[in-house]
Amino acid sequence: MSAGRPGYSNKKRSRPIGLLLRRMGGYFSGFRKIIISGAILAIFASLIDAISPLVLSQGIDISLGALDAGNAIIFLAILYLGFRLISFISGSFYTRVIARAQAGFVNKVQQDVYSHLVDADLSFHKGEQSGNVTSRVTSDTEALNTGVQVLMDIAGQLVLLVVTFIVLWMTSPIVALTALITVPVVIVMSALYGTVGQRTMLATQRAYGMVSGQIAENLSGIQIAKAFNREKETSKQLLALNNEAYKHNFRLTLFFTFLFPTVGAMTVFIVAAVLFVGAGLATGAAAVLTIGELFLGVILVQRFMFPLLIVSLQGSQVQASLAAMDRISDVIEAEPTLTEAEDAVPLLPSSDGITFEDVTFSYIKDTEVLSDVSFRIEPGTTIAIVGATGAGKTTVAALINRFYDPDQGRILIGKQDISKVTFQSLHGAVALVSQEPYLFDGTVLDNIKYGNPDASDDEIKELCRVTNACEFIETLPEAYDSVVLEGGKNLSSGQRQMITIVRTLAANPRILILDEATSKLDAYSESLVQKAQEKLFADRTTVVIAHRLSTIANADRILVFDKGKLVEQGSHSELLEAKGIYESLYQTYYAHQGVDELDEKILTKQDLVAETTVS
Amino acid sequence: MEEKGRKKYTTATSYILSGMKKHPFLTFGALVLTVIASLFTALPFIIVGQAIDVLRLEGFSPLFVSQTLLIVIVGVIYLAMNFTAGASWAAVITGWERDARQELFESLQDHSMAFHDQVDSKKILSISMQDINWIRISLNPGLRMIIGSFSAYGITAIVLWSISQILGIIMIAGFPIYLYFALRYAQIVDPVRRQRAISMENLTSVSQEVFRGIEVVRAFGAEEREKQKFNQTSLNYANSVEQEGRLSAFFFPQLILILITTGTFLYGSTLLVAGSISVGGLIQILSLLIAIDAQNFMLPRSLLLLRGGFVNAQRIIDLLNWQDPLIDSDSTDTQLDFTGNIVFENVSFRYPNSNGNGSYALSNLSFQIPGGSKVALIGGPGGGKSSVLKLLLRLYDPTEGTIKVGDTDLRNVPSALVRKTVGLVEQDVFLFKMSIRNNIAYGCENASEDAIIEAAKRAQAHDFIMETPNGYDTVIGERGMTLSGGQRQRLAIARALLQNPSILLLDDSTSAIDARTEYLMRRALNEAMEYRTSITVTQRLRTLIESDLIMIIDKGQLIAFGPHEELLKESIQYRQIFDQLPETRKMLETVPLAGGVA
Repeated sequence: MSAGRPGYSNKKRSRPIGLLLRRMGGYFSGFRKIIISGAILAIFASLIDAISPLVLSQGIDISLGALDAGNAIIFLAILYLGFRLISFISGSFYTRVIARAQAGFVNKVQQDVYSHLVDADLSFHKGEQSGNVTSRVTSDTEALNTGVQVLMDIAGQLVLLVVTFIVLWMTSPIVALTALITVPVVIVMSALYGTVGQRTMLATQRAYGMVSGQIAENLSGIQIAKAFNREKETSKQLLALNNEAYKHNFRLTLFFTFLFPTVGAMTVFIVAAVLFVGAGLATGAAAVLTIGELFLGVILVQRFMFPLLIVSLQGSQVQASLAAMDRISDVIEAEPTLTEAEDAVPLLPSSDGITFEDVTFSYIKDTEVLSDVSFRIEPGTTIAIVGATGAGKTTVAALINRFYDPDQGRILIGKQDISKVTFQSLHGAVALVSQEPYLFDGTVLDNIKYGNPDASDDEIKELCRVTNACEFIETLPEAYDSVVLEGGKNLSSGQRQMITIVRTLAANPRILILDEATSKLDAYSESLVQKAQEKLFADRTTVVIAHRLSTIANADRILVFDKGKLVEQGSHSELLEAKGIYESLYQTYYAHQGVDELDEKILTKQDLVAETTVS
Repeated sequence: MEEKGRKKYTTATSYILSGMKKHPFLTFGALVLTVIASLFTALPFIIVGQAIDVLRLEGFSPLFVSQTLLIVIVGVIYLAMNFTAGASWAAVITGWERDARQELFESLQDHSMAFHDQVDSKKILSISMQDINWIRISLNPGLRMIIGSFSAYGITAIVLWSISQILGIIMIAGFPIYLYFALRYAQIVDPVRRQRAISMENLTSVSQEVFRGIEVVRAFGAEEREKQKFNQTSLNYANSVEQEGRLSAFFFPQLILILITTGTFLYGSTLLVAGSISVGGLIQILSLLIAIDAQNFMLPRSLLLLRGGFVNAQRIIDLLNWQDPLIDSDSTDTQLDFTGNIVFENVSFRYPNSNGNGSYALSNLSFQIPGGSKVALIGGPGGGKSSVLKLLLRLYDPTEGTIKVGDTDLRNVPSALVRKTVGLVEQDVFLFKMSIRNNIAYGCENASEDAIIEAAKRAQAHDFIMETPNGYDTVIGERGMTLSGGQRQRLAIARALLQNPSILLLDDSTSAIDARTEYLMRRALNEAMEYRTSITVTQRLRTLIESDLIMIIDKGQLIAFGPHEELLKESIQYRQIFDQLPETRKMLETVPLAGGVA
């Protein structure tokens, strides 16, 4: 789709780990102190945790041996309490401090990614589903966040493991070595997790995705399902998918039900092993181990299995978060091809009228949508652009808005090249009503004000009155304050289109571009909109792409496009007389909007010009 | 319909427990096994203590060796118990999840359109996926771990009691305090966690709508405004993350456990010094307490999960128990005549909305359509055209007045029967991601191949269907398989033809089509309107002229009603429509407006 950009599907990472980690580190630059203090706290807490059982084992030995045990035990109890409190407090502070760093980190990443996405080329957005783009901002930054958390946790767990091992070693190297039996077991477990576990997890996710997709589709077609009495069948379809998801989820749960108790059982076995080995060392004439130390071994050896397992399982979590960083890097590194010139100047208020000079444009290389198009629209005039499907009409509108830059040639407003003016001033002067009415979440009034946030409510209402939009708005449940749901599912497409038209008129642009802007309105409402537009924008430059004869016939001039070329121009009557492409178009597309009966004879004549809708 | 058979849930608890009630024996088994499994978690430590005593008394004796072996055997039983318990939980709870999702969907599907108009489908989707998922997690592992933790605590208390009653008392007294603090903690953390989830949802919806409408954002030069809006939302999210960290950092119930462990250590040691317990006893006590410490670390998280599960359940119950204004009839009256006249008597209609009142979409509409006539319906956007169609499909009932078909009040006809006899071709044709054949047969699943092809032919769709890659088996919506508006509409006509309704409702507002498509469409429409009452929302002038009756509805009111010639004479609004085109102006000139211009 978007040229040169790596796809976003389940591809492998494309950047080295070092780079990704550095980049993650970059976002942390403002929180270095917090991070370091957090790390110190985490290590400190782990350290204390690892050595506090030492106190208990000393206590046991003292109770068994010393004569004056009382004071020593009280001292040890206080020491133990102190250790636990310190570990508790530093652990808590760690969580608190790190949450602050994480919050700041996520916020920085999100703002950075979002700002890149909003400025990304339109071709990028056209090539991606909006849900996919959104997940760059939401789930990917969350995955990064989790990754950071996991890395910290792993660091803490590793410290705990190493210190525990050292304490064990100092107690008895043989017991310490016995504890190492855990390592191969954990390796086997994490291998199982990496293969069977991951596969099951993926299958489960996929099955859940199917269920979710089915519910989403059923909900959006609910009215049709009701109209055709299909409720039972949709339920049956869902049940099949639901059962499939159940099957996979049950397997997944079983897998974890197997994994964790197995690790727990292994811990019990190792306790038995340490007890056995330690007993050998603690008995006989050459006893090298005290009972307290044996107890210590039993306690510490249990600390091995789960941290080790967690560290190895969380490896995949870190992988996922690196992959997220990689996808985010794709967004951040992508240079928009369309940028504001460094020396961009505002569009002058006196600049008006549109000129295309030898404009050639293609969305995909070597497939020209417009070739060598030149025309001039005088300030204050209305021109209509006509042509069959695929002639390049919408592209002309998009280029005037500078959604894309032409491959060759230039576009001027007044005497200013639009590639050399600021976006802000260009979009302030030019307004487009596009084919598909798009509304934002919010009230009807919010939507109309989108183009002109400073407009007063009264101004908006007056505008609605002039365009006759007030009639339907006032019948909405809460009139102007009615909330637009899900892009307008609670409105008809004609109503949505009315709102987008009023929104654009409210922006009060100098140049108005209407791309099939009234296609979803009935003839009567359309005529009212046209009258309002004539009244409000009488002497403004207007470009209309239209299908309705009445609109075209009323334009000052008509530009006829065919396969990307400007082939004819002139007024309606001039062009009809010329008996060229416009005349055939007229017969194919517009004449039948009248009341004449169609018959096969006219049709065969027109098949030469008519673009078939089947592609 | 099935509505009545559906049980209503009154409380979140009964909703959550409904799955467990369905499998009482399995659930009971799972509970017992979970408790027994906890016993086997504690048992190794008890044996270790005994073994150390044996070691001190007898040295490396056969008894000691057999006790070590016993630990291994206990480990094996522990594994077996835990696995069986886990599998039973999984069977009960995963099954519940499936049933709950199915039940929720089916009952929401039965809710009338009034419900679906008001409730965001994204919300329904997220409740049926996420919320149910969270309840499942709150039960397994949530509830399972809570039961495990409690029984481990209980077992430890019993063991300690058997060693020294004072230690037992410390444990038993500590428990309610611990539980109280754990619940308090959950209560504090729960709202911030929820807040965090909400701000994440906001973040998603804010960015998704901007990416969807990126062209509009560009066209209005609103990028900076959108970035600012997002930054604010992102900042809110960051704040909630930080707040959650701050409030959840100090898990103060842990302090109680630390105090209990230290106190027991101190008291146990003095007992050991005094000789009233053995060193093995002390080791038992300490290792059991340390084990509880580790296990209870998860308790607050499980409590949070369980608490959250109740909130999720409440959200689901609210959807399930929604009061439907449309009360379905279960009459089996066979005297219904859908070929009869359609009569609207003082019909007023207001879309049900959350705050109870709003303005009327239709007010005081009265008219009579003779059976078998072709009616064209025109009017401005939001004037009430589609409301009339929806009422005839009984997707809603009128707020006031009655609609009668062949002398029967629609309120007394089961909605399923209404929808069987009233067909619809909607404006934005909705096709499902399935084969063209199944899409056409959507209204009657058992249609024969011949009937399907016949319907497609009559709807002028057969030819283009044959040109698609797999003909009738082509799946719509798959890679590149898109259809033009005109093609979609003809499929919808075929779908309606196969259903063979007595009343056909057509919302035909497409425009911008070439003459060939228009020609095919007219032929399809003519086929569709044959032998039945039809109401067509249209913009085609030709259709207006060919209709028996024309109805203009604007601002929810009937403006004009009558045949073409009559309206041309009497209605200014009707004449205005023909005033748009040069050719039709001639037609107006031949018919002067009766009664002068108002």
